[in-house]
Amino acid sequence: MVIANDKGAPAAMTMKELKSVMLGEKQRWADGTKVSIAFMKANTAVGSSTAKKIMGMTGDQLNKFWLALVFQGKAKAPVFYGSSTDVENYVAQNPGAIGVVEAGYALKSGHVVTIDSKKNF
Amino acid sequence: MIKLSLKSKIWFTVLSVVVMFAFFVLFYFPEQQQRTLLHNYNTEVQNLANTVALGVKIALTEQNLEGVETAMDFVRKNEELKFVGLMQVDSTSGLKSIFKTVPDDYSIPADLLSNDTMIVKTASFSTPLMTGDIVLAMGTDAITTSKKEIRYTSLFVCFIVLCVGVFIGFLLARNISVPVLALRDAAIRVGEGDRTQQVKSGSQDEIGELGRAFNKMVKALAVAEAERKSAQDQLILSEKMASLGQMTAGIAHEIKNPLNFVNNFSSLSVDLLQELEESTDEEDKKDILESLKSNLGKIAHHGKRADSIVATMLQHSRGTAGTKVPTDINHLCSEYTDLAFHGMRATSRDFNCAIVKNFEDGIPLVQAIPQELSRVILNLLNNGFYAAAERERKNKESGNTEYKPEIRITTARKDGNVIIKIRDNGSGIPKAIKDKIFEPFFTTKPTGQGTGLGLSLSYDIMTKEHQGMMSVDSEENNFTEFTLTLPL
Repeated sequence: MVIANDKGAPAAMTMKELKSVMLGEKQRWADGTKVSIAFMKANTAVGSSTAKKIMGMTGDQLNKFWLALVFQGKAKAPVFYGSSTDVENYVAQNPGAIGVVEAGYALKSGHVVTIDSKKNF
Repeated sequence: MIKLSLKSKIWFTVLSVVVMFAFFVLFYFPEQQQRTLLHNYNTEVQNLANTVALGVKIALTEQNLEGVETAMDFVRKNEELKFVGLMQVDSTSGLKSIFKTVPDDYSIPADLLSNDTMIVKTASFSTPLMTGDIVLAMGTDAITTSKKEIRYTSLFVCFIVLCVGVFIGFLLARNISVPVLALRDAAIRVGEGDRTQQVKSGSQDEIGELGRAFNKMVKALAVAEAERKSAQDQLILSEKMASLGQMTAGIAHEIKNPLNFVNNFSSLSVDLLQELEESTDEEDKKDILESLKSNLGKIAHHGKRADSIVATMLQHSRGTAGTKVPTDINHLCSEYTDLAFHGMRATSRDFNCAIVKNFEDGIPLVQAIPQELSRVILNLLNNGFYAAAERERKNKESGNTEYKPEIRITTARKDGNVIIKIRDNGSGIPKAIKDKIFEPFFTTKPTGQGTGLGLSLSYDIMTKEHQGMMSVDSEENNFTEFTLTLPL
């Protein structure tokens, strides 16, 4: 499930748009807010499946991919957390933030971004 | 050997210090600083590479990219950055390949090393996901700029040191060289006889103390010299008084003879007058009157002789001291030979001496100072009598009675000069002391019998006051002959 801060990210996106954001290609939202990304770590089930379903990569591949981007300064580094709560807290505190949490997570702040009109994928 | 003045030595010392300092400031210190700069820069670049490598390791192991992002932001902002590469090593082949570079797609040579324009540092990392190196290359423009700044600073410091050195040189020259040179000049003038020299001695350092000591020394020298001159004057006076004493004895003897005749003939004449009054025989009266006439003639003759002696003495003592007057050398020599002889006889009645006068006729009057010249002759004659008496005494002690003391005084005219020779056949002068006899205070006579100034003063009288000469020829135990030369 993709969640986002109320400022920045739209309520609905296509998978292609989400992939573009998660690979660092799209770095600003439509309102100009800077994109910041929060992932679940690759050693979590959510993290592993997120990398595979959205980016088509393994967790290690995603890690190396982002290392290359950050090394060259081409994108702001994403943050990786071990729990959905930490991801939610980060998203809630950072305008423009978008994150992926486990399906069916009871969101306390922010909003769920539907992907291709689906809450979960 | 090069002779350097004090001022030159001061300048040489100051400039040596400045040159040595300049060498250190211009060459040694910049070199050291440049080495330190380069070392620090190498360390800084290595630390950056290590930081990036650590960030990569954390990113790959903990999925935390914050560290590598911060490190790379810092590296990219550095203006000296040439490139930074993330190299990965293939776990099976061990070959290195470029994973990513900044700038993009930078081609990193495999054998890249640091050089003058670039510092290259490598830091390794190893994770299960990837093993590799961070290769970081930074330019040295900043170092080169710093080197230039150091060089300019060194030049500026050198210039300041040179100015300070010149200033110190002037100060030292003024405070040391100038007073010392003044002291030297004053010492030279003191050495030349000026006892009024004083130097400025205001400073409280050793130079000032030296100046004050010098001033004190010159004052003490002036006082000592005045005292010495006074003592010398006293001695000269003593010498004159001694001469006068001897001359007075001679004069007394010379006058005593005619006075004896006058007294005797006067007494005889009184007796004859008594006989004349009592006599009744005309023939006796006539004889007595003849005798009286003869006696009165003799009284008159000897009275004139006494008068002549006194007149000669007066003539010699007249006139201002130091004034030359036409002088009859033969007459002066004759009179003073007699005076010296009788003076000697007055003090040593047992001693007798043959006097031989050999005066050349027709010697013209000589411009001389009679009082001074007579002192010379009297002094030489006295020495001659003394030497003859000494030889006679020694001969008698050894049983030799053949010796006959003799003084020979000769005058002659030769080559526009008048020569006076005074020769005695006394004990003579030993060769060892012949060169010293004209030195002041040199005497061979026992203490109290001679001042040692006689010959010295005589020499000065002849050479300085009469522009003449005085020399001596002698043979020990045979003779001594002094020769006085007076220009006509």
